[in-house]
Amino acid sequence: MDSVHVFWITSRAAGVVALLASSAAVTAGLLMGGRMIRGRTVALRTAHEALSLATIAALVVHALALLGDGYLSPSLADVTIPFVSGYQRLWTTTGIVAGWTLIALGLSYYARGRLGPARWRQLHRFTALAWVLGVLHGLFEGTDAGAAWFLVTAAAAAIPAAALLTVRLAAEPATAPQR
Amino acid sequence: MTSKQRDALAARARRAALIRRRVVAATLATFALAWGVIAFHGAMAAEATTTASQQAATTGSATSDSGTSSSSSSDQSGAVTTAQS
Repeated sequence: MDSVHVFWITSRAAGVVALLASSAAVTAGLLMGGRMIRGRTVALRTAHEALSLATIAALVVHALALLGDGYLSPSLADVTIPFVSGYQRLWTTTGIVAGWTLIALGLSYYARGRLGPARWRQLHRFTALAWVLGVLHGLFEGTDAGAAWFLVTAAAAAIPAAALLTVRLAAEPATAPQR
Repeated sequence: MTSKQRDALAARARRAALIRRRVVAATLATFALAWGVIAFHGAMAAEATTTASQQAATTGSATSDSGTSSSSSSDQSGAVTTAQS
């Protein structure tokens, strides 16, 4: 196995980890926010934070490992700036936007004192949108998207998060503050 | 702060540290497992492509064999998969 394969496989594996970790982080966040599990808030918050940081690390590896791939040979701009890469432009851009949004919103947790809790909470809701974009990127551009092992694993991680997100969105108009 | 409160805080910190360690371990294990599965599937796909090419060559139809046609698929991601895995 030469180095071309090593970088390519590393990027794909990191993409899978990013998808699974982000799905688990979204699930933990929605369980916490929806107060669905009582008495476990500290454990859920710790897991949510650790999974978010794991997602960010996996996203960085996913993008940077591609730079070593001798077949696609993307530039740094190709993997970090939307609409620059000519390779599957729509889904690559979707992945880049999702990645930057997840990184920015994830790290914004450490600046919530400056942002203000209410503003940070509003911003944090966009994490779910970024996660959806990331899932679409994985399903429509992922090299392993046609493999049964990937589909089963991704579904096991993404379906609970999607169900909780649907429940949250459906419940939101009823719980919105009345003017 | 009473010693009971201190103990409770210390226990909470220990639980948090344990959860963080488990998440890190699970992440690294998932990465290693995914790497192995992708490498294994890649190796199998490359072997299958090589076998298909060899079979086509032995039957004397190398110019229009299935191995060549799968490598020059119009689907870009498919082409990358075939070429790299």
